Amino acid sequence: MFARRPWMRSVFVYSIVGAFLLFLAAPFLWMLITTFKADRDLYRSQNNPFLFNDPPTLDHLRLLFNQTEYVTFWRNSFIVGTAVVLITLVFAVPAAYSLARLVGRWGERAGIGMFLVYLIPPTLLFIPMFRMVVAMGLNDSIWSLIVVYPTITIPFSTWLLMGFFKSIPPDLEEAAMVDGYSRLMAFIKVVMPLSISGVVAIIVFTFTLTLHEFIYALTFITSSSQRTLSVGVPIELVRGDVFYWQSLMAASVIVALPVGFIYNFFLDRLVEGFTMGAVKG
Amino acid sequence: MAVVETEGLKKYFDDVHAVDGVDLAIQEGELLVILGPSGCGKTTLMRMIAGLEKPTAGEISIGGEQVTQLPPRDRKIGMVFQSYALYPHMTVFDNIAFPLRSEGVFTKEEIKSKVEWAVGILGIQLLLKRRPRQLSGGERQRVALARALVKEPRVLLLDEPLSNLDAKLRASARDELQRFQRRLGITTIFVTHDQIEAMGMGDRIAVMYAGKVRQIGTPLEIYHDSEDTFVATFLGSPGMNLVDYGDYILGFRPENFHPHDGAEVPPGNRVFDFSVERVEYLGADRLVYGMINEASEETLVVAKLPTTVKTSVEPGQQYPFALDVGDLHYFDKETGRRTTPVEQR
Amino acid sequence: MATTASVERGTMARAGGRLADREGALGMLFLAPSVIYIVALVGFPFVLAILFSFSDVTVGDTSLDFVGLRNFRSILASPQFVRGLQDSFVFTIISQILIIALANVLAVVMAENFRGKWLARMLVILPWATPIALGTLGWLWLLDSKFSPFDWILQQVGILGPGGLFGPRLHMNFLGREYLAMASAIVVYVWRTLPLSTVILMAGLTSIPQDIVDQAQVDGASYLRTHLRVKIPMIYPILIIALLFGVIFTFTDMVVIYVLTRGGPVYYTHVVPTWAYIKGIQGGALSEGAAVALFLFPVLLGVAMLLLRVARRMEIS
Repeated sequence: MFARRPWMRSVFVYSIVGAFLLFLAAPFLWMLITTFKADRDLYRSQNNPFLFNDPPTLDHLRLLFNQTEYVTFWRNSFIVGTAVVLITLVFAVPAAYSLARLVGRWGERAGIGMFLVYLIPPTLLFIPMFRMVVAMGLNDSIWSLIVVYPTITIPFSTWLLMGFFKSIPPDLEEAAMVDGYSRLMAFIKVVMPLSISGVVAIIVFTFTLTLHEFIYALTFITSSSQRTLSVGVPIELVRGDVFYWQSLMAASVIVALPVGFIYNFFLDRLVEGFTMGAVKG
Repeated sequence: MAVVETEGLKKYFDDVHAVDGVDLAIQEGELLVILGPSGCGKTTLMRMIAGLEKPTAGEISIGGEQVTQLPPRDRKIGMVFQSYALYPHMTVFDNIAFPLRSEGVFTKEEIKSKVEWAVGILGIQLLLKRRPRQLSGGERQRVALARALVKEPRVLLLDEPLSNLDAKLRASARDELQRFQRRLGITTIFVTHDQIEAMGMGDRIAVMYAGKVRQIGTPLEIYHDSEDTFVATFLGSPGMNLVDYGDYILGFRPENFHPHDGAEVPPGNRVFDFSVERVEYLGADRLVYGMINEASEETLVVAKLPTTVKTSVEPGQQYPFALDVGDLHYFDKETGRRTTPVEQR
Repeated sequence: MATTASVERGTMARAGGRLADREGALGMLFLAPSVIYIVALVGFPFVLAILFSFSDVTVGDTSLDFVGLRNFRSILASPQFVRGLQDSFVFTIISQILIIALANVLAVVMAENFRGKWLARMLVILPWATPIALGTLGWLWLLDSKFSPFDWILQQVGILGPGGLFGPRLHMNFLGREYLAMASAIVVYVWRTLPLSTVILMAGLTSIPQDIVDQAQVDGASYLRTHLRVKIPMIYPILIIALLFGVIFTFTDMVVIYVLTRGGPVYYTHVVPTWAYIKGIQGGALSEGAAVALFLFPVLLGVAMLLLRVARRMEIS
């Protein structure tokens, strides 16, 4: 179709990409603009929403950081995220190695089983989970999340790492064992250093998974001092019936942009995991 | 009439001159082999003829029609890739029918009869319902050929179609392919790096190196009348010997270099002093490695002696070895092209 | 020096004990913690969910009294739940159809090389990377009943307002009208899941050998034919995977509806998970909530079996 007029091809490609970018990314641009809009400007429906009809202001950002629990939410999310990442690594790395190398045929079945567990969603389990959390005395505390989130992150991380370990040639470990290392040491000294990129990918995705999670956080926690970003922002940053929109938009964009940036780096690994290694990203 | 013509065809990838000015005129019904080592540009050349690469410069015409700007689908060509590129999710029938369906003008019955014709020629009637992963290498090759032929193209392009076959299969596949091309009379371009294949199959061979066609001619022509040092050394096993000889490079083929018995030098022969360093016994032949004292530099040359030559040859000794003057090639030192030395002009 | 190193390593090996060499046992040791964790915190709640659904547990009354199918009967009798179940299917199916179609187009153009591709990719995955609640918040404001920029644009173009196609009203009220709210929810689902499906498709398309694509060109196939008859069939497993994950993420999602409409207007946009939350946590009737949530399971089971089938097919081919 474009053989005779190659320049048309570029126009075609750029315009389609542009249209999709408009749909997918423009809301964020809009959120960014809204962040700095003065109340007078924003709450006038005749005003052009895309321009600053009144000069932009940092007031809403100040409100967000000084007069709300936003910083607390970040802190809680960070603590939960870090703790969950550590727990996940401790559980998933050995499990993945075991499934990849040490348990043979039924290891594959177990691996698929792990993956299927990932398909039992929080929205199915959240009610009994809530009772269990209350019974453990962890309700209304970030500890409830720290204990429960690994149920989501361990299966997926194990699956991803399993594929990763499998792609490392077994010859390397065997050479190490011939050299005198035990299987355990071979794992630590040979396989681990080679798996850094896979492990980093796990860290990134586990952390973002904890950022995304909503229903457990909504169900288990009621005090704002214990809330994480995902629930805190939509629920808490509303005073009575009043939505402080600019601050809300700011709160969202501040999380979205860095996460999106980092995600882009590790996307290929994620796709590998999702497609069960059918496609090397 | 020339069915395929290229004029000044060039393809540059940044600094790399993959194809550097190629002129070809391929005749109707001819089987032209493009022979060369990997990286010489032969595949790029074929891809340009197919329309899969756009030339940096030059023109291509097929059947008298300028096709340089046309996409592959408008060029009425058939092509077989080294990997055969069979559509893995389709049956053999659907694979072969694919070009016909893409044209969109044939009825179901027409498609069926054309496919049956194509499989008939290649003898794969029994494979129609199978899928590519159930086929052997040879079977896949035939399916790929049937698919290429089914739309009765003007030109058939074959990119190393025999490389993926077992060595044993290759010889018989080569034979079949050649007979089949003769029977159909379809103009064919065949790319390979294997000189035995080329010599066995081609009506003409175009030897390529570093993006240029060094020589084009019948197998005998390029072998006995090699026009440049690359062609001379590329063809033959072993290739032509080249030694520094005064103002020229002297070339002669190992199989023409024999021990000279007797005192008299017959007219039309040249004799050299050959210091033997090593002898290899290959069963049917002997390869004798050594130096010619008349050469300007010390270069190792080879003589290939069949078993009919009984003369004993020992390393460390010197022997007179003779060549027919007609088998002596002189090449220009700078260009590497064949030339006639001053004394003989 | 060599001797010391090998002695050192030998000692380490021995210090690790025979365990470090017994692969079966080591394997168990490595695997057991995760298995225990999962069984305890996934398997056990799952069983509990089933038990709850057959009991009368509430936030106040924690005793597990068996009540048979009472919860299920009352759920199925309530129009809100039936509507919620319907909406779950409608939202999932429609959004997935849209996503597959759009992802195909986007994946194809993103396969081209153009300037700023890395940035474009980052922007494309932004809706997926952002925490769901926060992304949805953005749409909540974008679709606001009084201040939506879409309303403003439509007003400028004359579609809203006196004499307009949708006029004379000045605002569409995207989230307050039954079908418009449903459509808005679908748009947000598509917005959020499209990046993942696109990226998976992109990876699939690039895994197709160039030879096959070249051959299709020589064989005379148009771009569309090559895409539909050659490329897509070759990546069916990947397509199915993208589809199934899309189904899971949309069908079991609770956040979009909760943040966007809380199930409104009235109860018209509720889906199974949000209804389970309203009934179980907000309403305190844990048993009913659990029963509602269990309706997710059959679909998930179906998806899991399909995924397994795909995985097996991939191993064979």
